[in-house]
Amino acid sequence: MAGRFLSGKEYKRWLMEEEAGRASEWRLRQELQDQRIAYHFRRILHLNKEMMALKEENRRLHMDRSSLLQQLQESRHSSRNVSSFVSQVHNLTNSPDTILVAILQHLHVCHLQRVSRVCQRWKKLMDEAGNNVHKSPTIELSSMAGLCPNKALDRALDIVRNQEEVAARCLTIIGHQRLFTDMQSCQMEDRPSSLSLDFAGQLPSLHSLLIVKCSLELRQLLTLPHHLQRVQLVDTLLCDASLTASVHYHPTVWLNVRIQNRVLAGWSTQLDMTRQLLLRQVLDQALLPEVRKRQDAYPRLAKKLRQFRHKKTRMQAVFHILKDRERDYCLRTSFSQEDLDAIDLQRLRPSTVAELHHLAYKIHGRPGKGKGWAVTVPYPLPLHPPSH
Amino acid sequence: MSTAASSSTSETIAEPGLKIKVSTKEGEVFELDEKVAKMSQVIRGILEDLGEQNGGDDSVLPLTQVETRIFRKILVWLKYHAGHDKEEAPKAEEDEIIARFCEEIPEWDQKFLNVDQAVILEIMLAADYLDIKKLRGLCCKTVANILKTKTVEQIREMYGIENDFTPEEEEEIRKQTAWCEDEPPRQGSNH
Repeated sequence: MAGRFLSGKEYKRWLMEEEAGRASEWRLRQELQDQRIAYHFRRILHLNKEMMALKEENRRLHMDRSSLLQQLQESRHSSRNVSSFVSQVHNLTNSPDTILVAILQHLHVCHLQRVSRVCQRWKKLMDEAGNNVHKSPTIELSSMAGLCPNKALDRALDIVRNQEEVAARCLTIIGHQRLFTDMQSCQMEDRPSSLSLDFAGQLPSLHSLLIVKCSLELRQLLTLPHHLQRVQLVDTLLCDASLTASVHYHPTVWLNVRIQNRVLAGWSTQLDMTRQLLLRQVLDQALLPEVRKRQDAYPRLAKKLRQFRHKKTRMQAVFHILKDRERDYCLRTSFSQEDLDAIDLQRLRPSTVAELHHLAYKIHGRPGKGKGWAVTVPYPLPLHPPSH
Repeated sequence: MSTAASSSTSETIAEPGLKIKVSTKEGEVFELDEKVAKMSQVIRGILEDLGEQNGGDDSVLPLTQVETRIFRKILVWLKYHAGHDKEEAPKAEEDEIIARFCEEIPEWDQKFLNVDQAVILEIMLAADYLDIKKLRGLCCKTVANILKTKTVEQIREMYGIENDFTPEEEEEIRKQTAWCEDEPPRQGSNH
C-alpha cells in the first residue's frame, strides 16, 4: 500500500481495518487490565480473609489467656479461702529458722520450755538459739499464777542454770498484774518474808537485773549477788523495801538503779530503817563527786550546793533543799510555822521524794531516759540514818 | 495501682520527695515516696549503693520475693508509720526487752494484723526480706502471743506439726517442763 495513492474506497477500508485493529488491541488491553484488577481484587479478598482469621484467632487466644488468668486467680483465691489452714501449715512449718527464732525471742523461759515440746525441730532450735535467749532470760511471773514467787523464780532459774554452755548475763523478771505480794493462792508457809534473789554461785555471770511491773513491798527486798553491776526497776513499787545490809557488796561495784514514775506511789510515811536506807541511797546519788562536776545541768541545785559547800555537810545541804521544797509546799497549803518547824525529814511526802529522784536523774545527765529516773547507788550502803 | 499508691502516699506524707519505683514478684510496679521506701533497710541500702541517683530515670528495684498482695498490705503499713512515727534512737538492751515483753501492740497495728495467720506469716517473711524490723517484730509478737495461749497439742494441731518425739523423749521433756503446765494456758486471744 505504501508508494501509491489509495482510492477513496480503499482508504475507507483501510481506515475501517485500522480502527478494527485498534479496537481489538484496546479490547485486549481492557481484558488484560480487567484480569489484573480481578487478580488484585482476589488477592485483596484473600488477604482480608486471612486478616480476619488472624484477628479471630488473636481474639480467641486473648480470651483464652484472660480466662486462664481468671481461673488461676480464682484457684488461688479459693485455695486460700477454703484451706487457709493448709497455707499456714506450709508457712510456719516451712519458715526459716531465723523467723522462728525471732518468734521464740518473744517468749519467756516458761513458754519456751512448753514450746520446745512441740517437735524435734523446735526443740533443736530452742537448744541452738537458746544461747541467745538464755543469755538474757526473761521470767514472766504472770504466767505462773498459783506458784509462790520464790518457787516460781527458783524453777525458772533452774532452767537458766541448766543451760550449761550459757552464762546468763542479764536477767529480766516481769510481774505484770501479778505482784510479788499478791500471793493469795500461796500457803502461809510458802509466803516469803523476803524475796530471795541471791543468785551468787548460781548465775556467776549475771551482771544486770531488770525488774518490771513488780511490787517489791517486802521487808527485805533484795539479796543481790555481790557481782551484780546493774539493777533496773521499771514500773515497780518499792514500799518498805530495802537492800539487805547483811551482804558484803563489793566496794567498787556501782549499782545502777533505774526507777520509773510509779515507783514511789506506795511510799509510806511510817518510819523504819528500810525507808531511810532507800532515801540515803538517793541522797548519796545526788551528791556523787562526779555528778557534782556536772552541776551545770541543774543550776539551781548547783547554786544551793555551792551555798552550803563550806558551811554544812553535803547531806545537810540536801536536807536543806528538801526543807525548802517542803516549805514551799507548806506555804502553798497554809501550814503554820509550827508545822514547818515540825517537818521531819523522815516523813517526806511521796511527791517530795519523787521530786528528789527526779532531781537525781536530772543531775545524772542521761538524756533519752525520759521514762524514768536513773540512780546510781554506791556500795557499801550507809547504814546509819542521816544526822540533822 | 501504682498511681493509686503514689497518690495516697503523697496524701500521707507532707514532703513530696524522690519517687522510688519497685516491682513485685508478679512484676507489678509501685511508685513510693522516698521516705516510705527507705523504711525498708534493703531498699535504703540499694539506694545508698546507687547514690540515690535512680529517682530521675525509670529504673525499678525488683523485689522478687514479695507478692503483690502482700506488698500492698506492707505498703499500707509503711505509709501509716511513715506519717505517724517519729525517728527513734537505737534502744539499749534492757529497753528492748521491756518493749518486747511489756509494751502492748498499738491499736492501729492490732487492727492491721487482725488477719489470717497465714497472711501474718507472709507479711513477716516479706518484712524479713525487706528488713523492716518494726513490722517483723510486730508480726513475731503477734504470733508469739498466739503461741502463749496454746498448749503443745493445740500448737501441733494448729500448724499441722507431727509429734516426732519418741515416747521416752516426750516423757522426759514433759517431766522437765511439768511445772510450766501448772496453770492451763489462757484462752480467748485475738486469734
